Amino acid sequence: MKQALDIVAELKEISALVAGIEKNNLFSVPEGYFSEFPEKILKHIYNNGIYSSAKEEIEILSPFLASLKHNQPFSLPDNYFDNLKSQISTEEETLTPVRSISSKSKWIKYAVAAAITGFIGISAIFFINNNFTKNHSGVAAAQNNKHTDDDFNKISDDALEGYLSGMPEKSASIDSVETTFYDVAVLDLDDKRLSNILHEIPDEDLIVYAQDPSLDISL
Amino acid sequence: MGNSHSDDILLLQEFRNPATKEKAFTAILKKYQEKLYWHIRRLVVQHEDANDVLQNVCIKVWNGLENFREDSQLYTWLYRIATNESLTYLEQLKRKSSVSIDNEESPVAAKLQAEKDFDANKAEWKLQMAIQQLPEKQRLVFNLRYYDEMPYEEMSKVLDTSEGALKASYHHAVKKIEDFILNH
Repeated sequence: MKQALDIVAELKEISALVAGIEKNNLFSVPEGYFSEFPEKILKHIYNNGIYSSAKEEIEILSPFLASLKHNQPFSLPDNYFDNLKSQISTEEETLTPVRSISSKSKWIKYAVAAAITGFIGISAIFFINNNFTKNHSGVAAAQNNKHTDDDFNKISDDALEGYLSGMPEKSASIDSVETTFYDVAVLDLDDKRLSNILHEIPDEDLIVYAQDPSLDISL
Repeated sequence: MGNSHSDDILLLQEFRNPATKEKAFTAILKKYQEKLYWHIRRLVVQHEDANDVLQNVCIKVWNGLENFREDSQLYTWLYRIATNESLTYLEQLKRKSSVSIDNEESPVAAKLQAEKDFDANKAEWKLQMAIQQLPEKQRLVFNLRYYDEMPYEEMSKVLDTSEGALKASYHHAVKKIEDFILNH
């Protein structure tokens, strides 16, 4: 009662207007609702199989099964649960201790493994590349040789003989050409100086030189 | 609520005994059903909705009462369940109405106007309209204090809020209701 009076006083203090409104219940409820409600709710609970516990559920569904629940058909060694704790602690003592691997040594192992794998990988790439280049160049050379052989086969023997008879002897021609070019290049003579040098050579020597059949004077 | 607490302890003991379980449950319902119903009804407004929510509350009580720890009073525990169930229902209603229609008015306020004897000019109905405009927490605090005359100490157990915060909420709620009535 005191509580209710305190609440009214509190409300008047905050708002006299709200405190002045009558607390009439404006809502209506169907007749007999509250008197029937407990029975209805219990009916609803049982009809919908709503059980407050598993024990209650089996007791309602099958009292026979509920009565059998406590008759344990399995047997246990004497004092099994009393000795269980000491049995577990004895087993714990005899267990081989687990050797843990430190995280640092793990990382070193991984790093070494990665380095070896990398080295093998790079070596393999180089090896494969070299083999490929060799094979490729070998194939190209073989192809070129094949082309050359084919070309030679197409040339008639007469044409080859004609060509070879017109060629100077290798040793003489190459050496002389190289020497001539070398001499001219080293001397670097102008016309005036050349005529001076030629004046110094006797005419007989020049006639003999010009008559030499191995020299091509027309050049 | 003092002597009522010792009665509740006795009822709980009877509920835990399979032979007297149904009888104890019926007694608990008879004792608290009206209080719980009106607490729910003021929040959800319509009788059909209040009935559905109250049924859910009773089923939860039936399932949980065996394991109810007597740290708190049965009365506050029941109010907690009723409040949570009502708020869950209102949340579902809000979601449904926001999907179906673009109605600015709260769905509960609309239900209030559909009540049989609704008269917007009567102060009592204006008060109901004003309560529906309040934020959820203030609405709960106002209802529990104004209608159920619940002490702040017990209310703090039901709503899990400090007494100081509850007093402030009640003060704000009353002021907002006053403003609404004066301006409508």
